[in-house]
Formats: sequence, C-alpha cells, structure tokens
Amino acid sequence: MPILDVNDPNQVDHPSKLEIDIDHAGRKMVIFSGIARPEWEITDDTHLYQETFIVNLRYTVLVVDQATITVGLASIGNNDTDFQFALNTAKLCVDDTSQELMLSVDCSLMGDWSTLNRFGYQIVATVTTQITGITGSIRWKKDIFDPSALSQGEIAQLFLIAANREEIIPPPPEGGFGTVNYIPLAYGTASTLTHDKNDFIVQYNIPGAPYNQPLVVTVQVGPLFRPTAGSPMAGQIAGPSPLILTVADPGVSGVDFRVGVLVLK
Amino acid sequence: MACSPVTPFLPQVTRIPIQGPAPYNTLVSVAAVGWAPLTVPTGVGQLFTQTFTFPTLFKLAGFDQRVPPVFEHSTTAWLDGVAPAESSMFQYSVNSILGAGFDPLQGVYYISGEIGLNMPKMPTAFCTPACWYWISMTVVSYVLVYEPPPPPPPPPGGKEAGIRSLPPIGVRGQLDMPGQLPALSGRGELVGTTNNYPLSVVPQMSSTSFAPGPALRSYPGRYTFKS
Repeated sequence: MPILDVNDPNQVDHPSKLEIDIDHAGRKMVIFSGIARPEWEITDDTHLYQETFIVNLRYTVLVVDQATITVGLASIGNNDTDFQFALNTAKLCVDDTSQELMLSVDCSLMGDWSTLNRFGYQIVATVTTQITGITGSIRWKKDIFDPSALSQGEIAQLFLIAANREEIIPPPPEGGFGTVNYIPLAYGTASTLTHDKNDFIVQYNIPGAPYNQPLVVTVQVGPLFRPTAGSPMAGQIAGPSPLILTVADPGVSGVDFRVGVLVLK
Repeated sequence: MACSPVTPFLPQVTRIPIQGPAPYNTLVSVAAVGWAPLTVPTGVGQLFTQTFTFPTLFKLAGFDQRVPPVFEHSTTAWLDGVAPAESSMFQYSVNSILGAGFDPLQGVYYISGEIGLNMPKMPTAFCTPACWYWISMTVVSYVLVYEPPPPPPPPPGGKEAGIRSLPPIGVRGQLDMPGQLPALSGRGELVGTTNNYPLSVVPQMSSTSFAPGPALRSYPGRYTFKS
C-alpha cells in the first residue's frame, strides 16, 4: 500500500490542519484537509485495478472518538478508451507503533491509459490526545548576530527545526562514503528570545512527533540569521540523540543547540 | 414523502462557537460549488492551467478595513463534473488549493487554487477555432476566526419588533454582500485569467443568482492570504 506523507509536497498538496479546543484538555476537534497525489497510472482498459492509498496525516492520537471523512476525485485523465475512476471507501486508522493518524482510501482505475493523479480529502474528527513535545533552546554568542530588531514572526523563522527519522545509506561496495538522510516527521517553532551575559537564546518546541521510534532533532539556520562573518551552523550540545517518545513518557526537554560560524580564511 | 424545506435567514454558512485556541471564538464551515467554462484555442500545447479565486458566502462579522483578519483555515476541493467537447484524450484537475483570505473591501472570505486541463491531441473541425470545456468543483473550507457576538434581539413589542417578525427571505441575507453572490443555489463562480487567454466568466444560472459586482473582480490586494 503506497503511503503519502503530508510533509512531502510532492505527495500531498497544501495539507492543512485545524485544532479546536472542546470540552476538556486532551480532547480536541481536529480538521485535516488537502489534495493527495497518488499519481496512479495504468494502461489496461479490460480490467479494473484496485489500490489502497494511505495518507499519513502526521498527527498522533491516543483514541479517535468520532470522525467524518469526505473524499473526492481531484485529477483524472484518460486516453480516449473505456475508463473507470473510483474512490470506493475511505477510513481512518491509527498506526500501531507511532500512534499517527492515517487516512486509508480504496481506489479503482481502468483505462488505456488512465490516471488517478489526485484526490481531495477532508476529515473532521474528535480525538483524545495528549500534549507531546520535544523542547530545548538554541543559543549563540552575542557578537555573531544581534536579532533584537526582529519581530516575533521573524524570530520564528530564524531556524528550521525538525524531529527526523534517520536513514543511513551505506557506502557503495566499490568504496566511498555512506550518507545519512534525515526525513522530517514533525516540525518545531522557535518562540521567546532572551539573552544572558554572553548569548542570545531562543526556546523551541516540536509538538506532535510520533511515538515509539528513534528521532533525531535537527536545526537548520535560516537566511534571516545574518552573522557578522562566516557561515552559521547549529550543533546539538545537550539532550539525547536519538530520543524516543512513548505514550507513558510523551515529552523530552533539554534538547539544546548552539550556533557557531565557520570562517574560511 | 413530506419534507419541510429549511429556509434560514442567514447565508448558508455554519458558525460553531468554540472555546479556543485563542484568539479564536468561532469555527466557520463553508462550502461552495464553482463552475468554469473554458474556451481553449486549439493547437496550443498539451497542458493548460489557470489559477482561480473563489468567493464564498462567508463574510467576517465585525470586519474592519483597518485590521487584517487573523485566521487559520483548512481547505480542500474536488471535481464535481467535467465535460469535453469531443471524444478524445482528457485530463481534468483541481491541482491545488493555493490559499485563502479575506478581501480588503468587505471581508468576504475567498479561496484560491489552480485547475488544470489537458487538451485533446487531435482537435477536429468541430473544435475550430476553439474547444469548449467546463469544470465544476466543490470547495470546502473550515476557518478559525474571532467574531464579536451578535447584538441582542430587540425587546418584545419594541420599535423593531415588526421588522424582526417578517418571514425569512433567503435573498435578504445576501443583499449587503459584495458581488451579490448566488447564495441560495450554493454556487459561486471562478474569476481569474488563464495563462494566455481570458477566462470566460459565466454566472451560474439560477433564479436567485446575480452577476458579480465590479468590486469583486478588482480587489487591489489581499489581506492575510494564507497558503
């Protein structure tokens, strides 16, 4: 079953989510919308093909109380042959390991050629969740960069913060180096700017990272961070790496970073 | 089967009071159907895309032109119907919801997106000088906003009691909205231009539809557009 990730714009176009407080903490109404991009193509107008596409909504829940799911065809094509396009059923499921909410859509397709490129979805659900989070700080020496004149919105854009799955690509058999890929699973936001005697400090929070899997936090320095000299880079200086969130222990704090500059002379 | 029609006075926009998150106090559910007739000249490339702006029936209560609305939205769209002009290869798409926002004049909520069309490979004489297609789509959106509470009703027997007791007439709810959107049919229209050719804009025909006013097509800017 192909899985489409809302964090990948090539798999889900403009996904959006609203969280609404309802009766008590831990219960929320959540609305998910987007246009999924299965890009499914077949070349046979004599047989009806079936496929199930999963959309990983990247939202962790403990329980789904109620849900209404609506899907509709958004992009279809055929080359002047017999055809059929169908979204047959749509349902929600929760990943047993990560507790992430998934949309499962059974599709049918026939034609020579036929494409079912996209479908729109909207889910309105009430769920029981809990506050999860990875928190920490990012600091840098005052003489590297002074952000005092930045607005709160600009502070939030100084860094791209993510909790990632680490994927290690081994070196090729003929020799060379292996590589590490980081697949972002949840994104964080920087908030308050403070300072001490030597450093500027921003706090960050990554909500909604998946459970029960190793996560590596990365901080990329954005273009709004303009050092007086050199190229800025962030490295982790405290806290676990990788870290694992569980239902029993859903939060990790003190995952701290420091920004330095690389100056070539 | 007996069925009593529901004729609300207000436009068919659902407002749900919520507790939060701050600063929001209202979740708005709005849906609309748009119809785009596309006149596509023949002999031009294969892929034909255009952006659209889709006004909805939702007008922010308490809208102040001096204050950009604060909001969040969750929006999607899908095809309702398509029509080729001839038997041929086709591809029809709602490619993307690009974002949503409020027009800066009246505070009407709109949605922007992109539709796509793949043209026939072999246009016939029927298609000369142009092929005719249409795409109909449903756009559904939930919006988090803050709206001030409505004024309290007048006291019984007061000066305004007679006005209040008038039977609901659906069109009344639309008269103060820009563009006189065709509310009762639930139909909007697409406005925009193609990449090369003006989009033919034909209002959805129904007994309660109106042609959009000029202001709706000429918004100089967009407030708080969000992708």
